[in-house]
Amino acid sequence: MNKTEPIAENYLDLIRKISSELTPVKPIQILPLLFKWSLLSIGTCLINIIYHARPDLPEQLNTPLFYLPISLLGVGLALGMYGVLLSGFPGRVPKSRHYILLSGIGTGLWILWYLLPIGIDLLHHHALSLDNGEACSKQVLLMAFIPLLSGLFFLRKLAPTQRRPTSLLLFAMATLIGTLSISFICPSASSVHILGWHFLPIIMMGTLGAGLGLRLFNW
Amino acid sequence: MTTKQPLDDLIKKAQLGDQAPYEELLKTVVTLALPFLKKQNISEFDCDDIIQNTLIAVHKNLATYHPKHSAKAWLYAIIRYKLMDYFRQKYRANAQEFTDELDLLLLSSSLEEDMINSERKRLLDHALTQLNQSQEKIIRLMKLEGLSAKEVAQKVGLSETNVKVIAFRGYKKLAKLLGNDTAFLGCIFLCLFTDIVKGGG
Repeated sequence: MNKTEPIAENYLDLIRKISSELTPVKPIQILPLLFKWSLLSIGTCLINIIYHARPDLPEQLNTPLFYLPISLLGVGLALGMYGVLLSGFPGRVPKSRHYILLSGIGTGLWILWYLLPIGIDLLHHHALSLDNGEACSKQVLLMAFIPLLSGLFFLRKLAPTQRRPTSLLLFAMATLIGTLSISFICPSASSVHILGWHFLPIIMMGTLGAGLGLRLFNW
Repeated sequence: MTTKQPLDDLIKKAQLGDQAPYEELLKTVVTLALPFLKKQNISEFDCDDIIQNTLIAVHKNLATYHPKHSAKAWLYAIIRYKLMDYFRQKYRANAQEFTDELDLLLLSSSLEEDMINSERKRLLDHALTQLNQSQEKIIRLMKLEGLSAKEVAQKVGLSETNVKVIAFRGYKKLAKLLGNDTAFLGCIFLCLFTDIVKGGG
């Protein structure tokens, strides 16, 4: 259509009708949204951590090495949450990709931290055993519940144009919050246990999110 | 559009509740969306639908635009989303239409087949009653119940060769009785031929 060409009457009718319903709106800001989401998520996880804290937590908190994997995952999580919210705004997907990439690097380093000992064990022909950690997975999923619901609520307020990836990331990030919190609950230092019972739920939930994305973020 | 204002200015004013720039913005949406949609080879009727959905989506999600970001990217993201939505719905509708058509086709073809088969069965039944008792019995056992010549011979208490001879005479008589239905005759002789090849009858 040429720009000088007049707009059809049916569009003009609709435009007039829509315009008459206009009310002032405030642009949605991403940082307050992120703050609310983080507050809700961390708050609920913190309550769980207080009730189920690992017995050696005070000692661990005095060990600098304890903070390394947690901070890697924490940085990955924060960037990922920001990326997910960014991807919820129409037209901001390319920008959100940078944050998701950075989040991936943080989380990837965290995985590597646990993968390296497994590799060394395998090189020395040590048997790897996946001890019973169902309770950990349940806790991870339980702690992911509120972050997931609140994230869903905030993202549905926006208008995600790439529903499937947004949903996948939201589910993965919510479970990542649970995985980060479980570090303060589960005393196991076994890499196999952490990757099997703490990390696997992220992949499972991410897959579930990808499957439900189209329905959850329909607008 | 009389006075051209940048798109982001229009959105900012619309967010403040100013109606005139908002109308202008929505008109711009139409002028941007139409050529974009026409490039996708979408019919005019469907274009109308998508544009109307886009206008409503812009209205509902006006708050998701941030003045710091590109207004065109925001607008095109919404248009593209509505376009994808349209394609998804169309694909689903087409798939449904296709399965409906296929069901109808299968149903009609099976109905047609049923009708032809029942007509043939009626003709065959009528012709069989005109054969003598042993011919009718043997043909019914061999062709309708699917028994071999040996099994029929055991059942009727005759030799296998005798059964084959009676059946052959019966077929010849049937061919005469059903002379007009060449397709049916073809079927009968095909059955006979396959039986001979197999050595069954």
